[in-house]
Amino acid sequence: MNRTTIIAGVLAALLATGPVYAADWKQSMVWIEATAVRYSHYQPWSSTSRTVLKNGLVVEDGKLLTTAGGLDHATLLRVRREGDGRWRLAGVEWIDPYANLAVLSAGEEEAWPAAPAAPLARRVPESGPVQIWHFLDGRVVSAPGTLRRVHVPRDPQRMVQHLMLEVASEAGLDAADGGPGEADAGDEAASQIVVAGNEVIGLGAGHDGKLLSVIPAPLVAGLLARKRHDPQASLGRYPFTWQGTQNPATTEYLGLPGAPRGVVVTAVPALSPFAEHLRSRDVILSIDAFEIESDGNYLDPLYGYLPFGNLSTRGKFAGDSSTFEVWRDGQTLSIALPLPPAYYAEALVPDRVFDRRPEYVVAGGLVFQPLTTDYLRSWGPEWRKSAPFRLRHYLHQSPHSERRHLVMLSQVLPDPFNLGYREFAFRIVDRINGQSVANLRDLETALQSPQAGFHVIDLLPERGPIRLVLDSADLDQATERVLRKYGLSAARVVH
Amino acid sequence: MKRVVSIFRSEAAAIGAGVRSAHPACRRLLRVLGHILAIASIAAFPPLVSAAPPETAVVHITTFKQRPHWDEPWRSGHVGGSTGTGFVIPGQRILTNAHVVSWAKEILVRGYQRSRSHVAHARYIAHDADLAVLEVEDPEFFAGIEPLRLGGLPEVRSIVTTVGYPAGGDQISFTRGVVSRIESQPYAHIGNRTFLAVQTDAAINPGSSGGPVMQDDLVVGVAFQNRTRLENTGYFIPTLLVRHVLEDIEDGRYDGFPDAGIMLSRLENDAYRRYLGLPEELDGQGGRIDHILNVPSTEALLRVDDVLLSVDGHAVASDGTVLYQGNRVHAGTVFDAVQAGDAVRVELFRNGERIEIDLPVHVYTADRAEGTQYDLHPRYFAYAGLVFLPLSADYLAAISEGGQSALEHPHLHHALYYHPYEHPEERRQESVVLDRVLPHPVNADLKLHQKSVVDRINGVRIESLGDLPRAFDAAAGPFHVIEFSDSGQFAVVDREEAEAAHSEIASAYGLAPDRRL
Repeated sequence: MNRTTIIAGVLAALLATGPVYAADWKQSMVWIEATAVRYSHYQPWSSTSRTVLKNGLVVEDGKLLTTAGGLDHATLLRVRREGDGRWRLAGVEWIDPYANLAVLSAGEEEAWPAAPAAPLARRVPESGPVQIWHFLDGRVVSAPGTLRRVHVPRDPQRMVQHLMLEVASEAGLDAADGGPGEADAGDEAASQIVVAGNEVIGLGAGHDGKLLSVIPAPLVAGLLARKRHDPQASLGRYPFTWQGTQNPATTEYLGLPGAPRGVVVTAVPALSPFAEHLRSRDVILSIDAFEIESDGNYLDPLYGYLPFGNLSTRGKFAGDSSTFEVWRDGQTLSIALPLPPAYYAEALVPDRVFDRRPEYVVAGGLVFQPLTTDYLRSWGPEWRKSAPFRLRHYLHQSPHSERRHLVMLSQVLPDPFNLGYREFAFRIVDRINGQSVANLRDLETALQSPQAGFHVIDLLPERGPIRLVLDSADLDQATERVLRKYGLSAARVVH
Repeated sequence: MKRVVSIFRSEAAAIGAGVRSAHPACRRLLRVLGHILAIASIAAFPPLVSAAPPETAVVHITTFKQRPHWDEPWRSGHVGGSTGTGFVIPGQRILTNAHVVSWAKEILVRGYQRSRSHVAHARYIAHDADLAVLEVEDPEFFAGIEPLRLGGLPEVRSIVTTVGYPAGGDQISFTRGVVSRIESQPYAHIGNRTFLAVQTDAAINPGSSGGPVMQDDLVVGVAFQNRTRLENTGYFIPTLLVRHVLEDIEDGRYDGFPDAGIMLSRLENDAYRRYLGLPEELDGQGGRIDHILNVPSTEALLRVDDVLLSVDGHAVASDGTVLYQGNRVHAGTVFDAVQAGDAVRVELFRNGERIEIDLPVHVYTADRAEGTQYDLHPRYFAYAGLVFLPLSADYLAAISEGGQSALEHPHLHHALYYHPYEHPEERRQESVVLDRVLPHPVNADLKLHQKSVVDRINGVRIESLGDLPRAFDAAAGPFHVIEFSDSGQFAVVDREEAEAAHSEIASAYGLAPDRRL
């Protein structure tokens, strides 16, 4: 146990009034330097490192709260407070990429000055002036901002739905860390501390121009409390798609008496845990006794009308149940369903892979990789425009039992062995030697079964050739040659 | 890989026919002799060279066009003008580019150094090859004009002269340049076809389109396009294609370039060659048939993994090319050698044997929506304010700013350009999109996330826009139910209210008529 924990623990015991909160919560702010390995998903055998400076906050138990960005594959974590002369080592307690939160601990045995926990607001205002605090050149500085709204973003790419705050900054948001020359900036990871009155109302989680997205403090506090009892706790979600019932003919057609209300389920993914319980064309009338309006909103007692997706995280976590009142086939049903956790690997194209270096297999110069959003992001900030269209479009498709993920022939490293195949790139593998391929383990298994001395690789039909044939006897030798020629240390990374 | 798209009959076909059974060494010799003979045979039939200077047969063309609104096809399009070039060919006709006269409401032609313009009409338009044949109302227009004669394929490095009326002045213009290369190029006018084209550094600018490219007073091509990002890169259509079009229209109808219906890919990898059992004597020969399009005759006669050894006597190399009149070009060029409905002799390697097949070829129309369409007004169907349109490249371009349909409408982009190839079993004659809802109380609350492809209406699977009237008539109950592909979304419209409101909506939004099917 480190000294911070001891101090906080002793004080808590003495006062017996719960955690000690800072009278001036600025004393709770910490500056975090995170150096992490960054893998190239385009050439997954190569990597570089990146150092991010970001902000954190001492919370209960002396732990350091920050956002998740920049911490994955960390090789060195250090923290300091304003006025400290030097950095101190820190360690990761947990990272929750879905909530975009992380908790660190000051891992150094020697003295870490006692820092009181910052007060996290139990309820956030819906609008009004705020201060945006962050470190700049080792000092805590602030800029004024305005809380514009409390909302639930409707970004379909977000796996979980929860409240966010939108704060307009009157100054730029780029100088949220150590400033130029000190380290590589990472503004999306900056984790600015947003304060209203004398309470922390949230952590900055990225910005668009002068608009800062802020994770609200009540959500943070709830997750911290839950994690204290259940370290595996995470946010839950509703795994189905829906459409509104503003059009009276829709509910009439579905036989629902009375005024239009509720939302209609349009699809429940086949592999979803809800698949056996909710059906397409069910009308969801209420969730946990909150009536659902025809536009998909419910009346939140604290924040007014919000999208019903917020009910999946309103005081709930994965594993908790939501009770759905459903109109189906002329009757009302009550269906209680446990919320599944957010899980990137559940998607056909997983969004992010944490704490595992990117996978690949090089076979005779052919580079095979799982298709992931991280790979698409390797096309640069404009990847939604510049990455190959067909690969991007798989983001809109759902997995099915025969193919939960996709393996891509991403490129061909030229060698005489693969002459004639140089044009192949960004294509999805269907079968190898007649065996269906959905991940690199499938691929390696299939390569164990050549057909009469050949490996026959079939690609998913597209606008291009769909078959390659390799000599199985020469494959290993060619792979070794390619590794030497292109400076690859290993032919495979498969988890 | 190149799509084998067209068939062409020319003097080259005769050369190829003589080569079919020859030893490879003799084949090269015959090809050289054949080329010389072809030129010599042209020279043997006077008059080969017009007595008058060639520019006297070059005409200035002014076209007034009205292009439609692909996303609102009931509206009248803007009227605008453009100019181009053409030249007189035998039979009191003018040859020009299709893009010079497409969507024309009026075509005016003016002869060399003449002051008066004459009204002309596009008698035939070959949009695939970007060529058009015009006729002039007043036959006196042709008085004193010596038609230009067609030559053959010019040699690379030889000098050509373009003649036309490019931008920058009113008088005729001449530019000289070298033939830089000869190979297959995408033809921009139609957008999804590739044919042989000749590249030159002679200036080919707006207004030059349709003008003759001359060599020794013979037309060796028709100027038609350039590359905006490259300097001194203009292209002209070789006379191989011109002759194909002129022969095609001899029966009074233009059919178009037929398609073999195969996708040919390289067969350079030694393992793949051994996998297919190709003997060493065929080393370096043969392109692999990778897949076969939905063309019944091709599906019946060819198979995936057949190796194409020769086309009409032209040996196919392992990179899918043939040596064609001294130029290494894609094998598809030789397929561009006969008319639709004719057959092409192909030699294949299949299951350890060499076989010959006469492959009938036909015009392929299934991918028409993927290319640019002309001269047929876009179709639509409106019902109770719901506007349905067929999905096409033109429609996508109209609704996508900067042509970024992949970015702005990825679902439609995928449905048009990818889905038919990925799931041929689900292919429809055309996809139909619910483009918009013209607001009215009967439909104002339909909240659709995006422009979506229609799957079914009242249970009827929609194969084309023409299915819509029948599908709406099929409603058995008090509602119309429209289901969309993929998303699971559906829309419900009260049938009685829709019927009552239909005319009012059509009138309010100027949809007269309410459909063009």
